[in-house]
Amino acid sequence: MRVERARSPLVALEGDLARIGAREVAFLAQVSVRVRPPVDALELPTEPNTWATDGERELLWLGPDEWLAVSETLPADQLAGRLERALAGAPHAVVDVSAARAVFELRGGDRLDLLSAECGLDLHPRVWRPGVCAQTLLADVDALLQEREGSTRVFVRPSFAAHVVRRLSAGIG
Amino acid sequence: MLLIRCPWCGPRDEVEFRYGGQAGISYPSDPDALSDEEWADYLFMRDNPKGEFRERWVHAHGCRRWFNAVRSTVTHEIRATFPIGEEPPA
Ligand SMILES: [Zn+2]
Repeated sequence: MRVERARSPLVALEGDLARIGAREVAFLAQVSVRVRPPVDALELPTEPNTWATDGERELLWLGPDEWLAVSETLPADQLAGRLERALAGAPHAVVDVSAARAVFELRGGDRLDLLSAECGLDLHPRVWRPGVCAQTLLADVDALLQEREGSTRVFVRPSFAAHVVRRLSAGIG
Repeated sequence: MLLIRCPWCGPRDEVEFRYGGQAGISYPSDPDALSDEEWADYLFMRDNPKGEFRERWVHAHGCRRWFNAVRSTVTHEIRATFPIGEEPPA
């Protein structure tokens, strides 16, 4: 249940985020899904490091039997409930992990250069294009990157977010 | 820095991985039947070849999956990486 006065983890970083052309994606519902594919009732992307959407939720590949489901329209309990129903019958685990990661979105045209300064992944548009995602190191800490049409989402531990944003803004001098 | 090919994620920087020692050492099927010497051998004694070595790695900062690798202890060349339970390509 969302409390009216709830504070998202990155409110204090609004200015720093704006400097790098980013904004927080606050209160994104995030649900961990563990199941062995295939699952008939769910279109799980099985190609490693890709994500798929059915409109109301996105499913990001995290491992051969692990995905992160996110939604901006469904609250976490409803998202989890629908996943639970889709997976009924298969051994599975569905857990609300919305508080585990803070999320911000970079929209600038130079965002991949900005990220490349702090990330060893090949972020050239030839291979890094909308529809891919990857868990990797960003500014020396664990991060999940998701490439969307015209933007890149960055998922990090809330307590590491200030560090990551500062390191990224150091790159624009 | 080594470039290591995760069987799922493809080539990634070495810093994303952690080393897990020799691969293919199974837990004894009947631990109570082991002598102290055999138990110590299972726990502590590992091969130390000069050349190809089959070892475990985990993609710690990526997909967090364990896998096996065949690495030369002389050149550090990694000839193959493959999921646990499978055999490396010849
Ligand atoms: Zn991996």
